[in-house]
Amino acid sequence: MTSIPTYFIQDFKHWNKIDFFKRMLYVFLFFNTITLLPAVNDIFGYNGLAGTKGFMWGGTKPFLNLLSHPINHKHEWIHWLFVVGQLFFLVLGFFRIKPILSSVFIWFLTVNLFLKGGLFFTGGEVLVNFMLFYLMFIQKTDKSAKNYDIQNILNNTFYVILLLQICVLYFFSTFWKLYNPDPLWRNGMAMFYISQIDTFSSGWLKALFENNLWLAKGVTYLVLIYQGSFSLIVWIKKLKIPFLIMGLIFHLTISIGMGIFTFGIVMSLSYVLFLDQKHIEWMKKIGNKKSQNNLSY
Amino acid sequence: MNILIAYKDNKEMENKKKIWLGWLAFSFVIFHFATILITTFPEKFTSPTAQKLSNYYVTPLFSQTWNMFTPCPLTQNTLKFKLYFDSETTQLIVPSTNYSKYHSKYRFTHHGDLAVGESNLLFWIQLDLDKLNIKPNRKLLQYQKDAFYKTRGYFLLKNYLSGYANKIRRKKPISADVFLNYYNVVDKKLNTYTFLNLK
Repeated sequence: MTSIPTYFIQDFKHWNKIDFFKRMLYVFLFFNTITLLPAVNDIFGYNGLAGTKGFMWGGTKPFLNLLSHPINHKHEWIHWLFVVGQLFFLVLGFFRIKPILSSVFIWFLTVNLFLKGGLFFTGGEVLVNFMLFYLMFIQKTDKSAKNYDIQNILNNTFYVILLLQICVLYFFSTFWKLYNPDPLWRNGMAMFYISQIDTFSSGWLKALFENNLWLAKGVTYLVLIYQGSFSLIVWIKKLKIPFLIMGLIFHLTISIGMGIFTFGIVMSLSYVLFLDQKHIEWMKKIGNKKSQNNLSY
Repeated sequence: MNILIAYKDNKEMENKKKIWLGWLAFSFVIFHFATILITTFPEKFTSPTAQKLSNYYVTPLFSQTWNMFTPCPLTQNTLKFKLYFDSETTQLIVPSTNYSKYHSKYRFTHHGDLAVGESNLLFWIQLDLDKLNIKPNRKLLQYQKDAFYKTRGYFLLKNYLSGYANKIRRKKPISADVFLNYYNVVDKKLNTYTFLNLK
């Protein structure tokens, strides 16, 4: 029984992975916000298309819904402050400048923006909110630091929470597909019908499934099997990598084929958390080689 | 010798404290996910009291559902509207014409978010219309309109229309004619809900 607390108090072994993941997530969020700039007023503005849900008091609600406060009605620059602030702290975070402060501000600004524009977003933004919150507690520390023990326990705890959060997502995604009275996931027709809706599809995906109904059925069942087994297979060392590669293809198809870009990319990024140290080193090496090649040109 | 014993005792105390902290961390992980599971499962699987108590911790920071594409969407949703201002009326506006062609070409731009926003908006409205037993392709009766005015769907629609008016004229509209189109990809039928003079 002592092995359970020992897991939480052992020296944190995943700092390189977390640092790599954090920086990748920050890069993605930076470019995501840049792409949203033309629609900032529509999505995040008090007087924009999303409007306001009204300001709520109680618990953490006011802290997370600052852009719904009536003061935003006349001061339409406030949401821009959040957007510019988020970009600024993402840059700081990426370069590891003031890492604690930047991770707190990145979470605070992002969660306010994403909750304000919730109508326009998908599960990807919800997952980003959670991951940024958990990442605030995972910080670099060394043994000579005064608060080493506490920080080390926090690192181990929130690292486990991050991994379990992804498993919870896949578990419930499968659960609802099987539990809901709608039979289309169970009879294999869901992907075919989704591909026929322009908002969630593209010309080639629509045509592909229209001409090959068996393929659409196969993909529907594959999605169910993949999502349902994720929480188990991802812990089996031998199967993990091919399984995650399959998931990567699945999520990139969601991003490009279905056009739900943020969700697909965020899910793909989250797979970094399940990789081993050697995989992280390999990815870093490839990144370094590419940047060296670019410099030599 | 005494110093050595004292050092050993101190070390043991420290280890005990660490083990205790380890258990505390483990308990926190269990508590965190137990409350999330209780609030995320349907009411049938948990007790209302447990859900209410868990909600104090979970909402709004860790609220989640993950019922992605469930139920499976079957309609291509399109919003069309005319806005009435003091001295002018706009032509029929179809917001999706502005972004759908970009969304189908460029997957990473804001056009995708706008497309998702419109689809979500009409999804929420449809849920309310179904609850109120309001049928498509029929003239709305006053009592149905009054009932719709009290729904979340109406609230979101009003926000959207006011936001659009603010974007193109920098002022609030007096009223709007709204046409909600739901093209069903299964039976290939177009269902339209028409709201004239929506306040």
